[in-house]
Amino acid sequence: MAEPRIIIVGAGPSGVRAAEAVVKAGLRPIVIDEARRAGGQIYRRQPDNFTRPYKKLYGTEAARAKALHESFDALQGQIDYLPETLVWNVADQHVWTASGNAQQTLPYDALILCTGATDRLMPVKGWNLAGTYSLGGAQVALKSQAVSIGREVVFMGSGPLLYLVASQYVQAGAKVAAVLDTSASGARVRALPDLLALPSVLWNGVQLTRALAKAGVPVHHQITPVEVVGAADSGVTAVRYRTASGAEKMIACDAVAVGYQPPPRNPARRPCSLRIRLRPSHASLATAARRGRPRQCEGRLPRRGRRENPRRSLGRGERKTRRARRAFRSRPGCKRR
Amino acid sequence: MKGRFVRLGETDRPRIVLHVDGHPVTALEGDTLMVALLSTGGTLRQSEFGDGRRAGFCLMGACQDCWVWTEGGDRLRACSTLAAAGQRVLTSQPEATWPNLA
Repeated sequence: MAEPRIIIVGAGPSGVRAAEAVVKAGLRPIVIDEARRAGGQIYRRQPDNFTRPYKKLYGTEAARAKALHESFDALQGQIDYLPETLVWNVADQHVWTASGNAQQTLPYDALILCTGATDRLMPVKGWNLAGTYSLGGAQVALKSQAVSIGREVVFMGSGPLLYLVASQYVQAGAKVAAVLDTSASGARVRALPDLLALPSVLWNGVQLTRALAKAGVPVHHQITPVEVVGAADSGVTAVRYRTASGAEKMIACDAVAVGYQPPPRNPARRPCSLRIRLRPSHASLATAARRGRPRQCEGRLPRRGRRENPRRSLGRGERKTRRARRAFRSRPGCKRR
Repeated sequence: MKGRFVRLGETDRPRIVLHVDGHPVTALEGDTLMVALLSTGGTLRQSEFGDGRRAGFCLMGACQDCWVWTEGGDRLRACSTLAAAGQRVLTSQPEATWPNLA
């Protein structure tokens, strides 16, 4: 029988470890990566000619980042790596890919999706102004390009990532005008056992808030975002918000980084490790979760959609994806309902 | 505003020159097109929705907010395209010109 064709989508922690497992089983997978280099988002690599050491870039995650990058580099020659390639459709046991102007469909016997997560976003008036970025985007700017998204940055939203990126900015020498937390207390930052993406030591609330306090960054809790203020042609000039007591305040800034804590997961679902089980006879996903000793997942789990939290408004990117998907499904000649 | 993004380090890299809307722009080798444009300017592009200028959002190729165009008519994602010497970039969508068949 011919060797099963394995396609892995994503080259973050999950994708790299999946590729390792497949190679170890004696097969040669195709690894499709949207980015230019493997590593995903948390362990995103800086350009080749950058000099910041791993410790400075990844902090407590430095060893893990190095191990991941080295693991991937060691796979060269044993996998078919397709960087800068987007998988935009999966159907009929094929993936549809786009890379620059080139389109390709690739058949598979087993498909492993390691597409990671993205920011949880909610629209606010003015979020379309130049100078508004997601928390993840603000972090990419720093980690991957050594830039701050602005001269005076306001961080707004909730969750440990809010404090993590704000303190990373402060430590890198950027000016953070304020951290605006929609949740009730910073102590919540510590008590999030279901946030699998960030190892606990990374989002130690005490450490992060201390770094911000030391830099004199004002932190406000239980705020309600009202508006990102600015001019259509030149971008953000301030953020307007309501305090816990209902008073309206404004903070001058030229950049806003927004992002919210992912919805709480089912507490019965413990952190798990993924074992790749190959089923060449099956057309779809070939991953199985092994529930054993609770352990950190190395990558992020896929983002949940509206089904888990119907009250969540769709983010900008999500709306576009859904529109595109709907348009694709109802295109002329499409046999599917 | 001059530049939107603020460089915090890694400035000891070779300089490259590209053109944006016809004007020369100096960037550093290793910059993405987004950083090349936003370290010297305040916005990336004209929004197609009539609400002014945009400057990107997610920096990871998902949000569709950072598209720029080459003078040759190609579309590029500024956040995931490396800046290169000699690029000729436009921040407004080039108008389609239809031949006059009269």
